[in-house]
Amino acid sequence: MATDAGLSPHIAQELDERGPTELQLALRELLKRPPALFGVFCLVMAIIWAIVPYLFSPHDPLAQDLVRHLKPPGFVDEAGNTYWLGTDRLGRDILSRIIWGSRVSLIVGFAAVFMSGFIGIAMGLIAGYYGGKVDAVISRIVDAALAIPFVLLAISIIAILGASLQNIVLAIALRTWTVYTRVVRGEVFALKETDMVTGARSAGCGTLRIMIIYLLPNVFSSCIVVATIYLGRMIIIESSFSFLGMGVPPPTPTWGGMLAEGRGFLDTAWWLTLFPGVALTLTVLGVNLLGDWLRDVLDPRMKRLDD
Amino acid sequence: MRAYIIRGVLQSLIVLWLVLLIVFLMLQMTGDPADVLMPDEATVEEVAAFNKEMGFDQPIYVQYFKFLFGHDDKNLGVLRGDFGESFYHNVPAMGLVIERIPATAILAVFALFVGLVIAIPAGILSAVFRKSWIDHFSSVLSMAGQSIPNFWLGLMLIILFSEILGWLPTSGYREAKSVILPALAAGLYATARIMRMMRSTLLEVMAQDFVNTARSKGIAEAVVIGRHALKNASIPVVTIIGLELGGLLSGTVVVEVVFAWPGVGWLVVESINVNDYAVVQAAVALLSFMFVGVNLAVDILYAWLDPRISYS
Repeated sequence: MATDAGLSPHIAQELDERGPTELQLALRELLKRPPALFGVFCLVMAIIWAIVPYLFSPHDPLAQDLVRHLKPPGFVDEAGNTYWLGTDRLGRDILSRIIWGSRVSLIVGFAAVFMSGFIGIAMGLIAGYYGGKVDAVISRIVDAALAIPFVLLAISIIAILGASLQNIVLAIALRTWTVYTRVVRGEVFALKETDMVTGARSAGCGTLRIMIIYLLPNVFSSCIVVATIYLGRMIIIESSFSFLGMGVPPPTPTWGGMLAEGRGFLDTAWWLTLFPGVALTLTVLGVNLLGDWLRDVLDPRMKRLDD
Repeated sequence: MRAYIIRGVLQSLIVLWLVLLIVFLMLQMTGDPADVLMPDEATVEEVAAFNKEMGFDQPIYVQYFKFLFGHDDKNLGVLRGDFGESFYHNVPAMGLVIERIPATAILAVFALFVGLVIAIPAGILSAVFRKSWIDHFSSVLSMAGQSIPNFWLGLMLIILFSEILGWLPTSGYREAKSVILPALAAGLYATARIMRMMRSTLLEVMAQDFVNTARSKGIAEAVVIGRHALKNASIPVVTIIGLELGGLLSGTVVVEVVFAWPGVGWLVVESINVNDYAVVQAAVALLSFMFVGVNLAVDILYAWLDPRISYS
């Protein structure tokens, strides 16, 4: 912990002797909670797929062959290759495309969470610390961002700027930073009257230093909770953009794009729509289960409200 | 109370002004609106003529002024509800959007209805019978509601109820029963949120002293819950219902596309595909206005329901 630095040796020693750290306790509790463990498993699986898809993908996700198009799950071709989840319109292997498709979902999800978290936390610190007019201006901007129909604005921006990873992340972050701002602002309002902050200020601490050293660590755990809750939503949002044709353009496999292709074959080839959706749902479910658990561990106040 | 309402209205007006600013800046984001609006094969002369006609050759503050207050008699400016003509349909953009509002509103109201019918009883039962099978079942349902993407659920519902069972139409708007599948798909997320809220608020209220007092007076448990606890738990739930309705009005875009439901969301997706940005601007502005309006109404209702809210 950052705050341990600079403590007198005997307090530091006491800290060493106080038994398992928070992290160890958290991990111990994780083993006692099967849903959270399942969530971690789903998310870690998706992350591993996204990092090294070629280790898992049985076929080339882009290899087309019209001879084997729209084959059902378990299809074996003449060469003896098995297509466990079937093939799509162009004869591409569904399983391989799902494994490679995890990349776009997770890259966009994590990038959007980091970008919106960075902007949102900064704005929240500023609004909460200065208060008054600065807070009023930031709060009205937050209200406006929340009032705009998010998906409509985002797909318009993507259509205008062009569908690329950066623009998709930008379009998502333009709205979601507000969530962090609201949380951080409220907490900073309470924190800035504490002895810790008034003491730091009277000791001659600069504003930036107070924000980064005294305020940020204290709001961080709530932000981690918000980030986890929103990671799942970002992944759903990315897939709906791809579904609408506003995502990363083909031939890059995306789960949303696969669902859009499957939409034309609902009556004949259900596997095109079922499996990418299951992958998407399990990933989001994993994130949400992990988020529930993190919230209980990191934010006992929220636990009291919800449990 | 009056000061509280006036302040709420003023804040809403500022928010709406900011929304209009964002809607104006939307087209300016590329730096060259003609680049977005004109076909790729347009000649330099055509682009120049187009820029002159639309006023894109003028400084940005002049454009903004004209955007708000109008160019001439044909275009009255957005402050009077005129977002210009749709390039594609050659009719006023705002009219096109307003035509699609009823379909979106019907879908949002039915989705919310689905949500309430499931969420309120499930939320109450899981709070009353905490840690029972019904509580566990509800929490699984609520977790699923927050994890399943609504458009994928829509596709799955089509496969099950339209393709396999043949009970309900895959898409369309003409029959009354065609609203069922889209409402289920769109309402799932709201169901999960309202259910969670209902459960946690009721649990919180039931832990308070006055509930114990009522119990110790010998009042039947059903009456304690029905008359004392539920009444006090209703206010936060009403708030979240209002928020979810506001969210549903603009949040059903992808479900509308899946079910070919002729609402505002589908119109916007179609318009983006043909670069018809006047319609997109009009839709974004109108839906924002409706969202702000619903929120303001909820705020006022909330203050009226709960006298403890300070008006300062």
